[in-house]
Amino acid sequence: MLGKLIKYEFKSTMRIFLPLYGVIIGFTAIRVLLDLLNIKMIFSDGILVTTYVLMIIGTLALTFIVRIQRFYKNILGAEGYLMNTLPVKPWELIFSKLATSVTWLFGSIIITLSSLLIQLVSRGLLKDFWENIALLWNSFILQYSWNSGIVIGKIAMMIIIYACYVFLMVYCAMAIGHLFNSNRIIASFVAYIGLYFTVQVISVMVLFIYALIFGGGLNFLSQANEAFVLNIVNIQLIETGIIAIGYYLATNYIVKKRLNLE
Amino acid sequence: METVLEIKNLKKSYGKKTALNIGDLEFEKGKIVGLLGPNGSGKTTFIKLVSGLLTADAGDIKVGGISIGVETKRIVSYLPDTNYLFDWMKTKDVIAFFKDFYKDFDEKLALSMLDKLGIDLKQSLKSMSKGTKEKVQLILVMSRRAKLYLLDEPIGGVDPAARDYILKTIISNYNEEAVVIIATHLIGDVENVLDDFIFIDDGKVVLSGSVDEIREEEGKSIDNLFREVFKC
Amino acid sequence: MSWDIKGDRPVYAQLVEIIGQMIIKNIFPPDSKLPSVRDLAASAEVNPNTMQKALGELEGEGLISSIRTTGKYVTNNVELIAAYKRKLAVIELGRFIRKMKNLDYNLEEIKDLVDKEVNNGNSFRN
Repeated sequence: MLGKLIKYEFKSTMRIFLPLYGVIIGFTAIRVLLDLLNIKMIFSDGILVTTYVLMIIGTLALTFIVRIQRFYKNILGAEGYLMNTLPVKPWELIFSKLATSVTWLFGSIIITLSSLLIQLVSRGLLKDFWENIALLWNSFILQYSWNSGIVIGKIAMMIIIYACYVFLMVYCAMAIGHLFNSNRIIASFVAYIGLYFTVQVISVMVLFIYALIFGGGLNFLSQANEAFVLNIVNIQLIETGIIAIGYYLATNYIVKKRLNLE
Repeated sequence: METVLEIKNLKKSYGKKTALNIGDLEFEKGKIVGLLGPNGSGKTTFIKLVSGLLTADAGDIKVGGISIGVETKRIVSYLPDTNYLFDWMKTKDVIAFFKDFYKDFDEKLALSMLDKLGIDLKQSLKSMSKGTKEKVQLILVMSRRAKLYLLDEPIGGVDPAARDYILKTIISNYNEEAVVIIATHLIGDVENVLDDFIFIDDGKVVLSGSVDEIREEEGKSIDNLFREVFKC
Repeated sequence: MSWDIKGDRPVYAQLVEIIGQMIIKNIFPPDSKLPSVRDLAASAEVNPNTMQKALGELEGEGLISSIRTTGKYVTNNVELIAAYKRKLAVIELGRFIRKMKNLDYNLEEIKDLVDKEVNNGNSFRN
């Protein structure tokens, strides 16, 4: 059943994302073509670049907005009458939304980045860029004697955990807002702000405790070494993962036990 | 007789307001039961509790001997009092959706009913009128060979022709092994269709029994009886 | 012929009357197959169990017979249908006479009145 839920989730959002990606690919292709043929545009390059940047930002923003709106409408809104009476468990509903959201986010990031890189290549601007990246990468690998596989794996994991965290925080805020009998959208915003500050406070506390135990007191910044800083990254990652799981459980509890569709 | 739905001491409140507080009820298979009462009397709360959209504060609900959960959702076919279908879908997509999620969905039956109404499978739900959408929803719900049908205000706010269509569709298609519960405030429109009725007001069961027995004893329709009792 | 079901009496009793009339009026001719219980119930917009009960009563009268699984048929006994018609007519007449007696007519006066009104052309066509 989980597979079917994910299938319909993709089906419902494909209509928005595929055309969007199509536009970006088309735009990129035109730019590359113009470069290759050495055609000068009548209007300035600035306008094109601005449009392009807006398009990239718009794509990423839309990815978030569409995914958040889908969760709200599909589980906590009118469509919830259908979704919540399907013979599936609430955690499956939430998971299907989350998995789809993270996938589309990856899709949007990959599409926009590739588009950017392709254009840089076509303008010959990339030589230096590539070399710098390679330099940075090699120094990293050498310095910490990691292998590239682990680094790539770790980065991918970080992105996934953070993406889950971001979406689950919004889902959780909307679920908390749903507990109110009126003004649920406003309540969701307030819940989001509340969650945000709570997490900030927890983060700072965890950091201080870590510093007190391993960093030799509050003036740790002055004597920070690399291992110490890298550990902070790990701690942050674990902390983010745990909080994300907390959001998931809270959302699941509310959808399962406290649902009250209008 | 086999009991399809069993209710024990059900309680549900929203904040301080008690929405439903009823004792024990049993629903036997093969019966069409009217859940009657004015607006805001607790009908929808009852239906939502049985469908699993709400969780009771106290008491127990069993469908086919199983407490409410994924297993009961497999055998309960629920028609809400709202448009719940996805606007982006075409008619054929919704059919596929129901077929995917409900094993008891009779695709042929649904297709033949849609065909009779002249609904194009390629038509998107977005482009349908409210009345047509309601009919599509009813067709989907009645095309399931369910053990329990929960129909919340199926004839609320429709014209007489649509009302006739809806009642005929329910009568012609429900599974004989099942219980059909019709929640409505339009008592006069449904009472001929019912075996039994439960009248609720302010979250409590006021009166229940067999429609024909009441008619015989009182010499008046259930509708008139309630108008007299509640002066509504 | 319509399924005009009133609110003041049990539905099944009214169904017995209406289907009985449909048989008398040849809407369901002798020896014909009746629609299924579901279909009859749907067209009358009544509960199928109630329709079943009404058909059961007509079966008791001998107007309808069930042939195993193939369905229900109207009797081929035309005399039985005629007798049933007569029986209903007598019941209806009894009601009429009771009402007339309440208006202080005796039987002779009732007969006279009926003759007179029919002859006047002021008949009760409908």
